[in-house]
Amino acid sequence: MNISQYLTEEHRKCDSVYADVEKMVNEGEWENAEKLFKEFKEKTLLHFQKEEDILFPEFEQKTGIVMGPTQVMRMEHNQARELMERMEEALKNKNKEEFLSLGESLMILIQQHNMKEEQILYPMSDQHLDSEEMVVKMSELGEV
Amino acid sequence: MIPGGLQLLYLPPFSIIARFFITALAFANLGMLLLFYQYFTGNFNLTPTVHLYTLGFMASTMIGALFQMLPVVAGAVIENAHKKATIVHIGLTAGTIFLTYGLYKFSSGLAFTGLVILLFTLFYIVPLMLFKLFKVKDLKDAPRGFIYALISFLIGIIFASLLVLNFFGVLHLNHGYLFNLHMSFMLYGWTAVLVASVSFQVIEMFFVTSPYPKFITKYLPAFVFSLLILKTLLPEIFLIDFAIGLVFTLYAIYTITRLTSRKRKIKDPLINLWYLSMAFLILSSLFFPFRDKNLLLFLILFGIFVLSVIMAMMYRIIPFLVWMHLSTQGVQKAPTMFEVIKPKFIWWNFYIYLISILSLIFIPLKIYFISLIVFTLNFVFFFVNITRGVFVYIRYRKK
Ligand code: HEM
Ligand SMILES: [Fe+2]
Ligand SMILES: [Fe+2]
Repeated sequence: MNISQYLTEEHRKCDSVYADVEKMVNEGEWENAEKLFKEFKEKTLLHFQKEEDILFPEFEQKTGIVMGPTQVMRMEHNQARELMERMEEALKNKNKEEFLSLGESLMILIQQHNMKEEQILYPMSDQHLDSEEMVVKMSELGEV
Repeated sequence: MIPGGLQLLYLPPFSIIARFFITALAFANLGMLLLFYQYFTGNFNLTPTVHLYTLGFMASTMIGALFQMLPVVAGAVIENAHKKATIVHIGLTAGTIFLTYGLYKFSSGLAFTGLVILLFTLFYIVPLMLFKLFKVKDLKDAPRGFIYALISFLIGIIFASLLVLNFFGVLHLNHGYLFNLHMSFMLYGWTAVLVASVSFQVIEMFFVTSPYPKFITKYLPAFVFSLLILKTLLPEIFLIDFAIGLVFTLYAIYTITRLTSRKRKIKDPLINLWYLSMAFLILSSLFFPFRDKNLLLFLILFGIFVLSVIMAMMYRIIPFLVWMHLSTQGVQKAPTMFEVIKPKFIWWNFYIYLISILSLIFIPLKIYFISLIVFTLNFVFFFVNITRGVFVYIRYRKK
């Protein structure tokens, strides 16, 4: 398995969990929604961590590109983190409208972010880095 | 080594897409004005009316969207996008106005002016976009589809130029041949292929669905393009139109099945718009080979396909980009998508739109005036919603 396949699969897993959360919020099953949202958040943050702690530093070192794409990716991760905080708040307050609105932004933010990673960053990483080694290192952090 | 492709990870300025979309909606409303005017004066002139929509509304939307999508979807950067977009925006707007007004007034001077402006503008930006796409290594299926769409657009423009020259008697070429090829390249080669290619990317991601089968994403754009090229050589062969119609029917069915089995089950007016769009794509595509029987009907069916998908797209893109740009600029608690355009308003727009379509079907042609009123309501509401969304951005920017 190379970096692209490994991380792309994680993207899909997170999407699928989010779809379930959204469904529960929509049906007013607040408790389940809260539990599942926690899982979604953990998975997403773990995925971010794999990128920020392992993939990006290696990418920057091997390609010499420091202020470029990885910086933008980090910023988008932060935007996602902020949204997830606000969503947690909305869940606590059982504010459906607010939750779904934030969720829509999060979903698209993450989708366009993933698109860029999958189209550009991951293929470049596979090209310049040792894919096998990277995947092993990332797996050590846990499974999404 | 810094591959050029990497700057693209930055967001193109918001004003680009905002300008193209608002202009597109202004043209849609202008088109309604022209229709009212023609209703009262009693002489209906198809071509200028059609081009307020195909150039003013559709091409503005599609080119604006391409400025946004090329970096994200394809990894192709347009440097200095703001300046280039400004030139293209002005050229496309001015060219469309001159051309349609010239065609309406049968003024060759005005129409030729419009044509020349359009030729300069489009032969500047389309090849540039193509060049950027060609430079990308390992293109995915969606952006490869953009390439076929853009080439078809160029071919469609060449036929268009000959048609204009024919129209004013400068040339005396076979009108039917040019007319059918212009229409086929523009509607299917450019518009429908672009919509399909975008959907290959966004349907799966935004609604969390299973992906399209590989044979569709990989071969549809190239196949349709080959059929169109074949059509230039064998314009009399009815089977080609039939094949084009079937390809898009198949595509629409696959889109519908993707959407019905999507994982995100939440109610969303935009899903309904996608269904509506695909239903009308099927109707128009099946009717395409028989369009000579009723060209206006064919154009309306196709138009509803495009309008629905454009509504679905703008209503998602504008709220998202407003939030995204504000958040990127460090605005704390930037307004979320539902705050930028309230879902309530999108639902209302959807219902008004449904009523306009129903009015076309059920109201007798004699009093199509009533349909015009509902459609105008639809376009005004659409315009107001999107513009207000853009103003949310401007208001926060000022703060
Ligand atoms: C450079 C821009 C364009 C020019 C100069 C142009 C010009 C023309 C002319 C002169 C005709 C009809 C002529 C006749 O009846 O003799 C025509 C027809 C048509 N064009 Fe275009 N066109 C342009 C772009 C487009 C685009 C972008 C589309 C669609 C996406 C389109 C769709 C059609 C259709 C459907 C017709 C047949 C119905 C009608 O007569 O209006 N055109 N075009
Ligand atoms: Fe990421
Ligand atoms: Fe990622």
